[in-house]
Amino acid sequence: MKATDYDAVVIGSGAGGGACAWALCQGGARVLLLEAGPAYDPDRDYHLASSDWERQRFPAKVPIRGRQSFAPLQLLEERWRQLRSWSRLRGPMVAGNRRQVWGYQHVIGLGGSTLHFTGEAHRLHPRAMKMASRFGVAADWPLDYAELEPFYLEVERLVGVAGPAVDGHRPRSAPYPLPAHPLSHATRTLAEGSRRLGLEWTANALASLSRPYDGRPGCNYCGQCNRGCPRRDKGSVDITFIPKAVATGRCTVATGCRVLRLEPGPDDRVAWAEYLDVQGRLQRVAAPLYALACGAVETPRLLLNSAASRAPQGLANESGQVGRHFMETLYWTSSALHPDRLGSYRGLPADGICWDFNAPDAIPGVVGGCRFTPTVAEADLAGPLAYARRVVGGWGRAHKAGMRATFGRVLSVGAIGENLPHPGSFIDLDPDGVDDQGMPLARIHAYLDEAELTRLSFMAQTCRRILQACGVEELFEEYGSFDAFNATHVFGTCRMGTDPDRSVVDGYGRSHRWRNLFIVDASVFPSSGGGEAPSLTIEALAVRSARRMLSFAGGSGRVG
Amino acid sequence: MHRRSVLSMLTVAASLLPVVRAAPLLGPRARPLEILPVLVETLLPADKAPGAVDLGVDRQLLERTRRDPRYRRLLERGCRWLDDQAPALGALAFAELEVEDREAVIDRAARAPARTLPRRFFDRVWGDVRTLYYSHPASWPALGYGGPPQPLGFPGHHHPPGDIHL
Repeated sequence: MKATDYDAVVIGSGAGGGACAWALCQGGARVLLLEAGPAYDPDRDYHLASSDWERQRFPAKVPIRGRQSFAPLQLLEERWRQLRSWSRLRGPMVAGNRRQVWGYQHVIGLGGSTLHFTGEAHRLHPRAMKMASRFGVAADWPLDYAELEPFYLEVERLVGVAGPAVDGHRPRSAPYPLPAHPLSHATRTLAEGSRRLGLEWTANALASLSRPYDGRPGCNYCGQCNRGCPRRDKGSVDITFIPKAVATGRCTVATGCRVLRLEPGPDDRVAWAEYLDVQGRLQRVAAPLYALACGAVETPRLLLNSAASRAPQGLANESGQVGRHFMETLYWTSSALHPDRLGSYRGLPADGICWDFNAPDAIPGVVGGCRFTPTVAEADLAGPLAYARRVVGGWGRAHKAGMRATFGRVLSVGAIGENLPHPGSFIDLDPDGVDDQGMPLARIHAYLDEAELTRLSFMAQTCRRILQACGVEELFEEYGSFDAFNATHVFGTCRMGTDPDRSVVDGYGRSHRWRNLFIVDASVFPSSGGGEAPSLTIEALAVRSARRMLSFAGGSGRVG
Repeated sequence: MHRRSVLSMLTVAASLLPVVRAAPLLGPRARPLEILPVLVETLLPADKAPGAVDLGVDRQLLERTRRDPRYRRLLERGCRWLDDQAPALGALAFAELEVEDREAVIDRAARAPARTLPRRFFDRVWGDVRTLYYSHPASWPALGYGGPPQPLGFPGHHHPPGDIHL
């Protein structure tokens, strides 16, 4: 075993791992941050200044396809046919009558999925943290909004979140550090149309800078956050938490290091982490503390693959809850052509938001809320190639004329909603599929029941109504969760709770049994929220967990 | 002799030789890719905006055929198919057709059943032409698109669109 001198090993460098590593280092701990993927260089890896910028989405250095497997998804009932994904040019986007997998969208790299995220920086609705006691579904968070609020504030200031002056649903002890971004012309069009329906839009809280801050420039509204930000105005973890952690002199970042398993040691402590280093050599590292941040699919996989004599059901799985309560991204997108040239390719993705139905009891007839945002950029409908392929169609003289008449007129609105836990949605180990090291893959099981489809139906109908109220000419494309599993936000598979029989970790993310094991990603979420983007909550929780970890060291930062 | 008489004779002759490719015996059959510029121009012609040939798309396809033998075979076969449609429209070769007739031939390929040669050929070539064309900055001004996204961004995004870079 390799001799080390670390106080903590953090596994995974996304929102949770990066924030945790920073907070530990800030508190004096020496941290080894293990990341399976490579680092990205904003100056070289993002090609938004190239003429062929549109031909590739996020330039993933490590392909994600095939890294997880899926159990067969559900059959599609005819009565929900209005929720089928379709395109005017291509017809049905999903063939057959079974739900299809489009993907678990994540990034393997330093910064994790924040590298390709839109940068929405949302706090959870306070009531969405008490879904069981207030609404009889899911599970309660073992902390409330007030406890988390100081940590939200702290991470907003570190990242440089730009947000509106007023948020009627989420109490704030201080304003956002930066003023909100102006809404794009296209988003103002959405907002004006929505007002005719009695819906209100506001500026979205975003981790992109509205002015220079902390040595980083303000955003120039190119709209391509999902392809990576070459300017560093988008607050991904690789340019916020991680450099600050490294600057303490106490953070060692090791990329290309894939953790295979953790060894359950004596005294209910994790003994070491086994990983392949960047040269492919098997290594072991031992430390007093371990923090897992591989995401709600790979974290339970790592725990289940760490089964051993002291943990026969998998590490931290005494309750059988590891992998259970998997929650996916419930989403819908409708796109149409507006009669006016909007220049809708300009501006931040999701720069505006309608929170009117975000509260858990806001949607009639179903528990769990949703939110609405413009989706031109996130639907990748912002460039000439997208218009040629998906909007105009045809070829020849008519096609060229159509392109000139149409470009910049796409108006797109989408919704993301609560996804409640279901017995049919969970992560287990694939009995047949293994990776190149022979380690079983995570297998994703996902099921949407009547309540989910009712909520999704509301989301779809509202998107359509909003577009109609904006005066669009015709819808040309719609897609959503009903027939296409396409998850960016995933949650719940190692949930927090006070009852060790019904949860994996406590309110600080600490394993109920394994005293030196913490989980600091969205696996710990007992509920998904009403569509809020999770990164800010993950970061706030991770910082809070890190402070708890430091408390074991008596404040000295040195553990043991 | 009238051209159509020649064609009739050739067609009869061709039908008597089943082992020979059922194709006109005259025309640039030996170098089918020579019609690529005509094809590409028909797919995305010059009008108020540059055409695909103006932006060198045909040369890029040709370059790809030099690197990729399978691509070359598909394009050669597809171009021969285009030429094969010409006699029924009164020409010896695709390149000699009037533009409306060229469009009609291409349209037939675009609507052909999946997994047939003309359909595969059309889908592949049109996909490549479209991608190469709209990845060229010279195609953007006619659309009112002021990209690429960086380094300038769109700082005037909150205004109605007007000038480039707003």
